[in-house]
Order: sequence, then C-alpha cells, then structure tokens
Amino acid sequence: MLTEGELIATLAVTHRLARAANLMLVQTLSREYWATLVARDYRDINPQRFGEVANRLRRLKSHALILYGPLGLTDAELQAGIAKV
Amino acid sequence: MFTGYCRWRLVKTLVRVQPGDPKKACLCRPFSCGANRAHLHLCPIFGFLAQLKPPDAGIGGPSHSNERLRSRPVRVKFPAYRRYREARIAASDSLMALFIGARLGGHVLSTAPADPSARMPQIFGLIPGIDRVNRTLGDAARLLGEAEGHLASMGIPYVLAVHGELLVAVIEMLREDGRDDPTRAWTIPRRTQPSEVSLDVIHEYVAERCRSAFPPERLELFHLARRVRNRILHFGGEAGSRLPGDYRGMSTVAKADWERLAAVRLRSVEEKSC
Repeated sequence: MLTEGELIATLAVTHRLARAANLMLVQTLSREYWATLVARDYRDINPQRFGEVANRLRRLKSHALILYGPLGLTDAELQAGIAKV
Repeated sequence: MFTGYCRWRLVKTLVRVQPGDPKKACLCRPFSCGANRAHLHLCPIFGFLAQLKPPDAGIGGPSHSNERLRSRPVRVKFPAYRRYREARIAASDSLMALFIGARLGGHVLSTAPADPSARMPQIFGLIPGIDRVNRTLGDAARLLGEAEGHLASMGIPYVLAVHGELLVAVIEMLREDGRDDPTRAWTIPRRTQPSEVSLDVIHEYVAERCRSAFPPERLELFHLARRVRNRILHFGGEAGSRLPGDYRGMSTVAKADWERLAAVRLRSVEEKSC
C-alpha cells in the first residue's frame, strides 16, 4: 500500500521542479514579454487603477517590484509594456 | 532549547509592536515588565531568551540562518505561478487534513467508551451521511486505519495534475514569446495545443525550448511519481513488473532523495501493489 510519505515526496518533487521551471522562464523569456505581462497582469487585477493614467507607472512599478522583483524591470521597459496592452 | 533563527522568531512573537507606537513591548501581561526587545533580559518570564547565545552564522550553523534564506533564488510570481501555488497549497493542506482526520477518527473510535459492537448511526446520529457507514465502531476504526493508502492513491494523481497545469501555462508563455517555433525541428515534437503535451515529456519539452535542463535527479523522482500515478489510474494500483525495475534502476542519489523525502522506501513496489 502507498503511504503518506509517497504523497509528501510527490509534493516536494513537483514543488522543486516548479521552482526550476520558474527560474528557467526568467532566464529565457524576453524582457519585453515580461514588461507586457506585468502591465496586463496589473490591468486584470486592478482595471480601475490601471485606467488612472497619472498614477499608472508608479503603481505598475510597485506591482513589478512585489511580484516580479527579480527581473528588475526599468521605467522605460514598463512604459513600453503599457503601450502594448 | 530554541537556537538561532527559531529563537529570533520566538522573540519577535513575544515582543510585539504596539498599535500606533513604534516601541515594542513584552507580552508578559500579568507582570508588565515594560521591556522592549533591547531590554528583554529585564523580564522575569521571558528574560531567559536574552541570555541565549546569538545564532552561529558559520558552516553547519542553524538550518534557518538568514544567510541560507538569502541564498535561495527568488521566484517571479506571474499569474499562472500564483494560481499554481494556491492550488498546490490547497491540495496539500486538504490531503494532510484528511490523513490526520482518518488517524484521529480511528483513534477516537478505538478508544471510545461505547460498546465496540454498537453501530455508527446509533452513536453519531447527528452527523450528516452517517447512515452510509452503517458499521460497528470497531469496523469503522479499522476502515479509517486502512484509509492512508487510499488517500495517497487519490492524492498523487491530484498533485501531478496541478503540476501539469503549471507546465501547460509555461508552454503557453513560451509560445507567446515566440520560443516554440512551429517551423523548427525539435527533439520533442511540437504539439498544436500545449495541453496535448504528455506529462512524460513535458519537462523535456519545456527545457528544450528554454535551451536548458531540469536537474536530472529531480526528473528521475518525478518520473517515478508519474509511473506510480499510471499504475493507480490504469492498473488499479497494481505495481506490475516494470515499476519495481524502474525503482531499482534509479540512480543512488535519486533513490536516497526519494527515501529521505518519503521517509520510507517505495514499499508498494516491494509489495507489488500501489
């Protein structure tokens, strides 16, 4: 019979592979793609705030810092991302 | 005794921030020692924490040292990854709760002061659906004791399905960025729909498009879990002849890793049933 241990091992293995896939995406996908994804992601979460043009870049920078921090996207890249959304 | 990072977590818990006041006050309410974190040694209750040695930052130091936490790669939390994390945590929590619930139920029933020959609906009549388990208490305790294998058999395919969903989303992202060119000859052939990529090649598919590779020993473990899942889904849990051979043929590192994570050898393989 299977035990709890085998399930825990499966959880641990998939968790590690998911982290490896995450790192792989960071190293592979273009910065333009990430910038567009950040803008699209923020627009989907907060469409009303995204619509406020005056504060959009500042809010997007915070969003990128919290969820996409390791990418270190610049203002210019985020602006280009906004233009594509 | 509490050491290193655990000690600081404890100190952080005991010395909490007062609302509206940056000063931190000790939680020893009955004594109200008035100590903040710097003066914790003054507290008659928690003062012993201040006497403990600081964390050892050297090699072989505490496993939760800040250095170790800093060295972990930080992940990008894109939408599909956030969904995956939520789903994985929900699945993990629910499954662990079911394991504990089964053990708890078995323990309660086997130690209950009621007559073991009494039937469940007679004793627990207020629980919805109890009529479907019209068994004696002793019988129900035995069923719960045997539930672990069944729960694991349900949980492993569930966990792999959640993982598969993440990788399908990863393939979609690679395509959106033009990394899965349909005109190119790939070793793992391109599929029209990302969801059509089978779980047995999905990691290799992603790795080839990323021009990278997953750690081989982790992939070995994944494929073992996948084969266990296949035996559950397609062969009613019978281990068959191939799975034991695959397990024995795994690298020493991967096998040791599996046994460390599972805290047991793959017993189902040796007993010829999953």
